[in-house]
Amino acid sequence: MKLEVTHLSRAFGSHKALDGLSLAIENAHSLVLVGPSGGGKSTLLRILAGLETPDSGTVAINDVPLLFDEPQLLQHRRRIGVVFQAFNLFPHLSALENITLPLTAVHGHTRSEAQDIAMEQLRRFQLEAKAAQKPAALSGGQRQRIAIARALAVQPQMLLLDEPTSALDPSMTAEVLETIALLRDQGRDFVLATHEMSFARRVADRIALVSNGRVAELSEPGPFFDTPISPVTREFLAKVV
Amino acid sequence: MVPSGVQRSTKRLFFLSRTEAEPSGPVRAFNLALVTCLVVGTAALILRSSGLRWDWEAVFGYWRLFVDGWRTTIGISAAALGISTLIGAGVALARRSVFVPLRILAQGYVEVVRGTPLLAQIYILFYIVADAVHLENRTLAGILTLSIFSGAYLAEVFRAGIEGIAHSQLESALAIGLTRAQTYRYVILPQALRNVLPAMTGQFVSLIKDSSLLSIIGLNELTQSARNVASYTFSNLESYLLLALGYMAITLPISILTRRLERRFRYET
Repeated sequence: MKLEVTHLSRAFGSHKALDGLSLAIENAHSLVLVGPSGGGKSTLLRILAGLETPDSGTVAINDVPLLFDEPQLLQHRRRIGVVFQAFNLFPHLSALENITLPLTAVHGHTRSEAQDIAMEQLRRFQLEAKAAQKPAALSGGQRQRIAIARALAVQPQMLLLDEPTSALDPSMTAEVLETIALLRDQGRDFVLATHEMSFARRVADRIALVSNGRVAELSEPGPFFDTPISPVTREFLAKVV
Repeated sequence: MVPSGVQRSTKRLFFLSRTEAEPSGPVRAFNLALVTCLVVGTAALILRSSGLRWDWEAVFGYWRLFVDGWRTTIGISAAALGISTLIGAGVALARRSVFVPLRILAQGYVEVVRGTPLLAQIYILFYIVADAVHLENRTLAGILTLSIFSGAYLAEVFRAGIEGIAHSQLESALAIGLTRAQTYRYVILPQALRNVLPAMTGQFVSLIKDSSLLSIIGLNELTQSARNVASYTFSNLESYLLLALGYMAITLPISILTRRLERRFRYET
């Protein structure tokens, strides 16, 4: 994917979540965002997902500029898969129905096509036994993996994952991370915000440190962890690694 | 003092243990029988000491009137139930509309209807509004009045149900690319329906009982029939007892049906 973000700003009241953030990557499948909580990772992802409108700045994905008016945003959201920290699934629908809903309601598949696609996704994640279960009957890790399956089922241009393991027990984190590693092996394009540093190193083609609403450092994982340039990165890595 | 075995098993006949949510079958049956005996016994004692003499024969002579009234009550209630649900849903959506005048209109409607007695509304709508628009059909006027009254309460019930949906659900709906209308259809309404079911039934039961007030505009529904029979036969008590039973026969099945539906819709969140 190619991603170009220039001078992106977004304030909530007096708090500047994004403060003129710029970022450009090319020829990479995965971009991992790390940095302190409240640094702007989520806001950036939400703007990329078409869920939030910036006060100023531009975004272009694969050379297509993102237009921030509602009809365009709706089309954009339909091309993108999003996984939040938690509560992605609809509690009144089974795992299977959660996956088929966007397929039938948004992407024009028939019921039986949608079911085939959804079962195929579940099978790939070894979750076919959970197809009929409601989210309440699933573990947190299973819920997140089904959310990823739902996002993938519509064949999105890219996947946006906003701290998908932050609300999970450590015991369940691993299974979700394995699923994400699978995406990387398949060469899928995704942007992931996470606090799991060793995992970031493993799956990132590019890694960016987002802090105070700006990108402090953007490079490949090797140099990022071994020879960071920015003092902000050094300070952050000293705290978390 | 440590309770003895006898004390403990006596206690278990009447009290739920900390781990039980519902009484077991036999315990429930035993207590149901006990409470029924107590209530019936008390009622019998009250009736005996009041020295009333029953005269069912005179009342039964007018059974046709009762049946006709009962059927009218069911008809009016069913129609008003449907119309008021539509009004309630429409007004609940209007209160959340992005078009400000509609919001204010909807809120004003709810406040006025909930803040005034049904009796006043019936008089005003029937003698002023219905007259002005040449609506001469009493039954239709009655149904509409009842629908407008109940619709305001249902609007509030539905609004609470919609607003009870977690923000994260709306966010997920947006993220998967649903439009606003699709979000209502696939995400909000199914969840809201389950949340509002108990309050909605309560309102339906009220509506059925409130239909009795339509007797004041001369609608021959159950209350009017009972009142007529009472005046023909001087058997007030018998007529009104039948009246009460008539309403129970409508409201009780609704309560039971809802409890079944609630069980079917139940899922943890």
